[in-house]
Amino acid sequence: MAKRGMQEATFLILTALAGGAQHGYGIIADVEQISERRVRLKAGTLYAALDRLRDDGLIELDREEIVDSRLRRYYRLTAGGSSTLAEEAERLSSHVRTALSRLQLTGGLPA
Amino acid sequence: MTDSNERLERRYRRLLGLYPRSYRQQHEEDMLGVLMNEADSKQSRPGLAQTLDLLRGALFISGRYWWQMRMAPDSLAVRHPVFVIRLRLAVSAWLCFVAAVLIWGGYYAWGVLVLFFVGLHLLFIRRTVLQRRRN
Repeated sequence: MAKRGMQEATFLILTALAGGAQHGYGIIADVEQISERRVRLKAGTLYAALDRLRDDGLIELDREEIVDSRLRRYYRLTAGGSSTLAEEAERLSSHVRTALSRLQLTGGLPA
Repeated sequence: MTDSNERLERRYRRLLGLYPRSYRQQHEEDMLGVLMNEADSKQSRPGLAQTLDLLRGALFISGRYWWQMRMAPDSLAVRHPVFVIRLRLAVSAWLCFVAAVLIWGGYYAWGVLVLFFVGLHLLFIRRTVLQRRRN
């Protein structure tokens, strides 16, 4: 996965969980905030991603709670999930540094 | 809960019925909570975008569950890999012949469809071989 680059939704979900265990709705709200209201995950997408991430060992079940007679499952990042996210963040930020420095050289960067 | 909300929940449950049973047992209530949280109080049916997203999710997760089931330790492909590979090769050869006849006869679409299944068999063979090499 690290080689091919991570999908943005995956990256944002892992980033949301890097702040601590969260349940489905919490992740949606957090991802919306992290992305400055640009990404609003839908339930089908979120749960498909969670299922895959859990299979890949990047996240795990933290706990279950009943709120307003509804079950909430909280997920947290595993150690593998943390290091995968760190690698991806490092990869992205190196791209960002390159882009910014090149733009600066050619004067393409708005002041 | 309002009347329209109850109707909405029933409709969401029907959509969630498309997910694999074992997945639903673990996640249905949780997902329903998220879906109902998103809904406004007068809404009585799921929105188009939400529905399409759930359908896509159901397809995705069913596909993965199906794939995992095939590769479970007690599946035939894992217990008798050589037999399964030979059987699939034989079936593929036979299907290639069928496809050739269909295409020769002018039934191009049917021929391509049969070739698609040949492709699936070859994918399974590849997966089984890789699995064996890894073990």
